[in-house]
Amino acid sequence: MGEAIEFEDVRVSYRTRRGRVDALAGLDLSVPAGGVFGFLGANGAGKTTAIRAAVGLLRGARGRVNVLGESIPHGLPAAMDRVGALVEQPSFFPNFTGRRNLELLGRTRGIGPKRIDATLERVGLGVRADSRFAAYSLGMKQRLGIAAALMKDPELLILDEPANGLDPPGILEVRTLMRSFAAEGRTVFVSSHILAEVEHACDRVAIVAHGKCIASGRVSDLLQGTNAHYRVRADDPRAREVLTAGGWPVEPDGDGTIIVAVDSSRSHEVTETLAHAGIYLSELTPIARSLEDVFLELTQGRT
Amino acid sequence: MRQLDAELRRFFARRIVRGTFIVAALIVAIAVGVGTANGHKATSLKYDPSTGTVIPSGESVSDPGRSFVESGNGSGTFVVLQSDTRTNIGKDLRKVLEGTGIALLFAGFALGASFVGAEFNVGSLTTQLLFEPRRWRVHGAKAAAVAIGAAALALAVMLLVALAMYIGSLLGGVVDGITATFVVHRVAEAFRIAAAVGAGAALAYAITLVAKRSSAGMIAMFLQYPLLYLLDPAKKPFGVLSHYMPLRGLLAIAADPAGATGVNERTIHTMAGGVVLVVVWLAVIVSASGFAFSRAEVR
Repeated sequence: MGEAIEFEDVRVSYRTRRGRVDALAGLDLSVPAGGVFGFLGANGAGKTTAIRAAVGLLRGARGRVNVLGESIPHGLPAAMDRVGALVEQPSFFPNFTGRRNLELLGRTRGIGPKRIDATLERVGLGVRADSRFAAYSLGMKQRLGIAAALMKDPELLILDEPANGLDPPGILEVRTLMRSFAAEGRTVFVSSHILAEVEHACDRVAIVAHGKCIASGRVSDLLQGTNAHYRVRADDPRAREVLTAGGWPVEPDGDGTIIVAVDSSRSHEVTETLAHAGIYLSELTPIARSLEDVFLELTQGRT
Repeated sequence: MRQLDAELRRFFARRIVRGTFIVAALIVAIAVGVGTANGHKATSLKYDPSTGTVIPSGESVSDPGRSFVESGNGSGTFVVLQSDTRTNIGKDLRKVLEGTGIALLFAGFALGASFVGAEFNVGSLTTQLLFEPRRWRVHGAKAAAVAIGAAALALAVMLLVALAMYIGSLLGGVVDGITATFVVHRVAEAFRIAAAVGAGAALAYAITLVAKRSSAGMIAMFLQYPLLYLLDPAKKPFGVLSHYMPLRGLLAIAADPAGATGVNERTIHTMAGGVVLVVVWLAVIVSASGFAFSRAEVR
């Protein structure tokens, strides 16, 4: 499988009253085709700017942006035929109904009413399709934006903060939608700051800070990390001293256990060291980190 | 063509377009209705200066002060008390269409500017560009839709004016001079005015596309009207601005300059001059705005 999206040394800067501000400062990122890819970052980290550059709303980005093998912006028309996108807030004519808004968009690509009805049903807007967009709740507006993105039956779905304004069942629906989309062999590229949601929905993630990608990979790899923490339980009170003497950072963890920071590839050495000292373990458990922990650890001091 | 079709639907689905038509229809109905209800024949008196008496003449008089001689009763002058104000489609339609056309020209500016201004305002242009990223195609379709839409609206209003005047003439006025030539001339006049309205709307749209605000397009077009009178075309350095303003060309097309007086008399002497001026402005402004739009960040 090739790459669905590639950013190579992409730079975007804006002139402000206080001088130039780098929105993207050499972003390098590859999004493989297939699966759900999460794009994480704090507010102002450059997520939306990167997405806007990929879908051609932003012109004048330096560096290389490829979408589905097409160079952007030259190959934008060919790429966008196969891309469905929701960027920032969904924007439609407030006085037109949801259906009317989709009809006008669909007309430019010859999309008929059957597909529109099916898409509205898929995002749960079938009943309210004939209400004015202005009368929609934030969640319904978001659903209409997702419907517009899905209407082209795209190979690549780009969603910028799709869970904005959605209630918990709505968030679950979006997650199910993204997973079902990926299960069909397509790619979903989703930016979000709801880390728990990304952890559940995504196969891979990238974390961006100050316009640069600071980490990227499988969610499981990022959660495991290289500097894992293990919970150690041993009946012998010397265990803490022995491990400290061995050079490992150790902290007590209440009920007689201790937390040891150790590279996951060297975790067996903890057992070995304690055994040499005649101390036998009753528990050695890796402590699961959340994506939030990883995110905060990586972005601390950068945001 | 699909893009143009969608843009035309978007144009006509807007409230401001339908509202403009409804308001125009109401104004036409009220103006023609009141005019027809109040219309009356010309009344005149015969004034005999030798006796100082006036007598009702019973004649329709168009030139007050004309002398008359009556056999055996001396001479005098006609004094017109009131001219003929009955609705007369054959006599008045041309001037009414010209007047309506100028009002429609300004309505066209507002419709053209607000079309894309509203899209920037609600951000729907972003959604559209995610569907059709070819910006020149989007721009061309929008400019064409604005021009066609505004022209069609103008034609509909003028048709309404003609219909209302015809009904008014039938019910309480004069139906006279409705020949095939008259109809052909009025239809040509209506299309000429509609073309000017469409061109004006497209200009206002193109300016707004760059400025991203409806007010910019409207001000740029509306402000030309007072400037036409404030800037003397014969005087340097600003006369040249006045001479070549787009509005001058549009007015020359909407109101036939063959019989023009005042500011148009000295500058645009032929309708061809007005057409050339407008075509050049359209080509420059629509191309420049398309160029800027194709490179701009759209939010």
